[in-house]
Amino acid sequence: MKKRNIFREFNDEKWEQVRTHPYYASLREATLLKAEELLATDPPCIKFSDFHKFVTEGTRSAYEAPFGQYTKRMNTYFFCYLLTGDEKYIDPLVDVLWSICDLETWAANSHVKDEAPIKERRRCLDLVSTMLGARISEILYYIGDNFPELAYRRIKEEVRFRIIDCYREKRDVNDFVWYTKPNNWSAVCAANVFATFLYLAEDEEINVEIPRFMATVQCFIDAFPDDGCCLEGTGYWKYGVSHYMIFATMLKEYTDGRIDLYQSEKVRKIAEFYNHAAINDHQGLSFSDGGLGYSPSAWIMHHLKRVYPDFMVPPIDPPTDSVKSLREVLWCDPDVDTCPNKPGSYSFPIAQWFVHVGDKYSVGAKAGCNNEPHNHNDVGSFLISKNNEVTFVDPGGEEYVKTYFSGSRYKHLMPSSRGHSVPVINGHLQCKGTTKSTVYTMTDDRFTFTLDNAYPEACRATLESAVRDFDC
Amino acid sequence: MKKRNIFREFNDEKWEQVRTHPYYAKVRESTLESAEKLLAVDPPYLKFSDYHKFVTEGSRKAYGTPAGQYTKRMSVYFFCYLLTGDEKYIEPLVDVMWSICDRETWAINAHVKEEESIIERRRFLDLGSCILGYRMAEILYYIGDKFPELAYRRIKEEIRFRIIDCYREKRGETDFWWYKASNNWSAVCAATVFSTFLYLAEDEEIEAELPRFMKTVQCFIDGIPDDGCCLEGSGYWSYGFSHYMLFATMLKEYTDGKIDLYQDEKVRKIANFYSRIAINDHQCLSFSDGGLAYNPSAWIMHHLKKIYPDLPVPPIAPPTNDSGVLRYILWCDPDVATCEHKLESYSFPIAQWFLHIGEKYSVGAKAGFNKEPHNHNDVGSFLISKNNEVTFVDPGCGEYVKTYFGAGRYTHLMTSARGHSVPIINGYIQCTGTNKSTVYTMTDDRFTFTLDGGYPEACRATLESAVRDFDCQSDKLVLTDTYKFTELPTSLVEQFVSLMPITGESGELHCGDSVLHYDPTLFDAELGSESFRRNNGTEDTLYWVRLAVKNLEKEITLKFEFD
Repeated sequence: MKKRNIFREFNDEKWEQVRTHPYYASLREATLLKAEELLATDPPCIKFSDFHKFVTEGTRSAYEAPFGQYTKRMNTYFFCYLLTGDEKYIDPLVDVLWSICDLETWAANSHVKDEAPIKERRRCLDLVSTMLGARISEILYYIGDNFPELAYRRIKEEVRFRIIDCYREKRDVNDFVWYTKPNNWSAVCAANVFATFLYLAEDEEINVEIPRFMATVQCFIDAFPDDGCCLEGTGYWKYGVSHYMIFATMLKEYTDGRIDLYQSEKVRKIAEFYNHAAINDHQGLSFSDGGLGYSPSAWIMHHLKRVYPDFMVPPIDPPTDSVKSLREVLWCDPDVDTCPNKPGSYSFPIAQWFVHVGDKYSVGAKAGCNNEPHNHNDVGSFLISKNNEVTFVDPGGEEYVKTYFSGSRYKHLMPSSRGHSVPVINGHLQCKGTTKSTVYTMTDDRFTFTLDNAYPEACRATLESAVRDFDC
Repeated sequence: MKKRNIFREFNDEKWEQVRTHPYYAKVRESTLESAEKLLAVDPPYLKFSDYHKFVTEGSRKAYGTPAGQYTKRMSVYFFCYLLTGDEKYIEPLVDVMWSICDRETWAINAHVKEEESIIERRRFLDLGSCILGYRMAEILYYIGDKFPELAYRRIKEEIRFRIIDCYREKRGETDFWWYKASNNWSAVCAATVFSTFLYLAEDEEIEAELPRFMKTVQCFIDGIPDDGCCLEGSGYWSYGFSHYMLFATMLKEYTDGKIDLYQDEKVRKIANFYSRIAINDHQCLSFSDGGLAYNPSAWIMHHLKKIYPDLPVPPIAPPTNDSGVLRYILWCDPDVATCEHKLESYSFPIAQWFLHIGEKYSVGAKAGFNKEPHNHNDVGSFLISKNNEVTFVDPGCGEYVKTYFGAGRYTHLMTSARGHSVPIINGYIQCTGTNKSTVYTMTDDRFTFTLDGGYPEACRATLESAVRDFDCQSDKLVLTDTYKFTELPTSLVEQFVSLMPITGESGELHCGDSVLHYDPTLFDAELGSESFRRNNGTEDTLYWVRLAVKNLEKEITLKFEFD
């Protein structure tokens, strides 16, 4: 396999630090311990009937849970092998990779249709299959020569068939929704497939596809308002932006610095988003399908600091648990300069998200519209933090069952305005709609905007206006 | 799926009998019970490292055992569903079939090379893959309409890709060696692929391939001598010939009786083989890779009885456990006319297998040569039954590890002459070779033949002749070996083996209820034993006595009496 000058943090010196530096002590300990636990048992049985529960019962978890045990094993054994060089991890690692290659499809049951032809199911490119492609090709790239020849060959062929050749063949923008999707999918899938190419494909194959990859990740950036706000929710910033970073970093490395997406002013703005989404020292803005927990990731923040030397990095605990990908370890910098962890007031004027951080309490609120990515009907929703705990709240996302992403989305409490601190007017809840609020005032301690745009036509027939004002 | 007039025992009336007849009570009970146990736990995890152990350690079992659990589940759930109509078996049945479809290859690790390309590994046709294809095709044919559409479609596509389309594409006579195999492979593979076609393929596809299938099963018949003796061993008759029957029956049904392979006289001879090899009421001729246990299968014998009304069918216990394919059940006939299980002396003159049934003891012996299918170096090997137990023995089959079917085959005790009751001449044990024994006498109580053909050239350079003679007298067996050398031999050792300890001294050795008498002044006796592994993985011990001739002459006659 051609060795390329990519993933530069994967080097002997860095690994020496991972093996010896106290910063990584709990991670080493926890992962090795976890590996022992996993080695002692077989992974759970993956069943068609569990996969099929997405159709029969609308649930993803019946399949995701056992499936996740395979990726967990894969990541754990791979990391432990790199950490210790102990051959005992190779057999179980190969076994789990082989089992993953056995799977009829690498895609999530919620992303691939039952009716699709078997061949297209097998090579369906979604968040999960492309993630598997990136992880598995990374493993092959670094330690595949320690595998039995048949295992190496088969795993590589599966990755090529399912990911590389599929991407090369299915060139139409409509072949996969994420080729132009304005959300995390474009960043995650493009970064994963690009990484897979860099690990396993030929130079000519990579060079031909770079423009397509770049067009796709640009869709991810275009979906953000220019103020850098991640409308899908805070968790999606970590997910989407970290993959964008993998893409941008690998592209910069592969082109020897000639293409550097980090130079874009908007990208820089997006990079700053998470620093402005805290409302107290452990909670953040939970709008859309976000969550209340505020936990910046060391690997993301430290890498951003490497890219943007003036980037503010709060103190973050070192990774302590088993990691999902190597960058979660190798991108961390034990010696990074940090600043105090102190949330500040901030406003995203285009997204219309507002954070007021006060001495006695803090407030987060949003206006916007009800047609945002991972939309909730939540114009006017807010949360209050008092004595470092959120009290009144925006409840965030809920379980991803089939109906959660369907015509019935708003039957679920969390996306419905029933699940938010917004008024019910003349018996009408808020509904989906593209009309954005008009903001009258947006300062550090005042936020005033229209609410009426979020209600159905029938309601607005007799509602001339509704204005919400936060006076902090 | 097109319904065809095949597998005629699969009908409502027969199923009603299976559901209610006392004959089937045990199989119903034990299979339903087994299903409950299986439903309560997940099947074992199939690991590449276990699969790969055939390469790293030469072992088939590490992978074969857990993989077999899937096949077992498949047949148990399928049968239980047909038996009860209870929908609860469908989901686990689909799960297990789905998992089988996930596998990189359906072939047995011993049969498909790791260096083979991935696509050819995936559609490799061997005993394992052909049988899986057939069983799954049968399930789809009968109850596939109860499956979720995706599962049905995927399973069908896998079978088509791996079996049907592969067979249609790979038409070269050498594409798979079993296309022309002269052993069980041709019957098993052709019958199961043919059945898969009948269950899932189109009429034109079947018609186009019929001649190829027929050619292949004919190779199986051609591989058996005209006396109908199954040289591979008794177990392979059950395996190979039952698949031949599957083929012949399906073909007869599909062609509405126009092609009936059962009419062939040789096929009829072969059909009778198993009825001829019992040495007592529970043991049989265990030559080659056979086994000692005599277990006629009800489904085979009853079905043969349907075809050949004068075939003697001994009383056989009804099936008691979930034994696999549906024909194990549906081919049984609770009302079959049986005869007393009567043992009879019999000889296979071409194969040179000899069976003497006496009142006080019985003897089985073989001459032949050392290049038979599933060959052992065993010219002159014999077994004795006394008081309804085999004492001195031909030990049969060893564990199927990688070297068992490779250049290292004769390093294994079971296949080597070391594991048989045959002499060591001038330090030479028997070797592989095509020289067949000359038989001088072959009657119900006398069997005389040359042994020297079984020995290497170097040995035969000074060995003019070696003749073994079994003289079955009413109260004892007299075994006489007569040697003629052109030069004075340097050593001559007679060996007798058993799975029971051999004890005693001074010319009288006990082995079970058998006693071996010889002149102790003529030999230096040495007793010993060696352990080996059976094909089910268990350890077993072979006991031996070696009698080294003290006074070596150019002409030597040695006499042994067994009573």
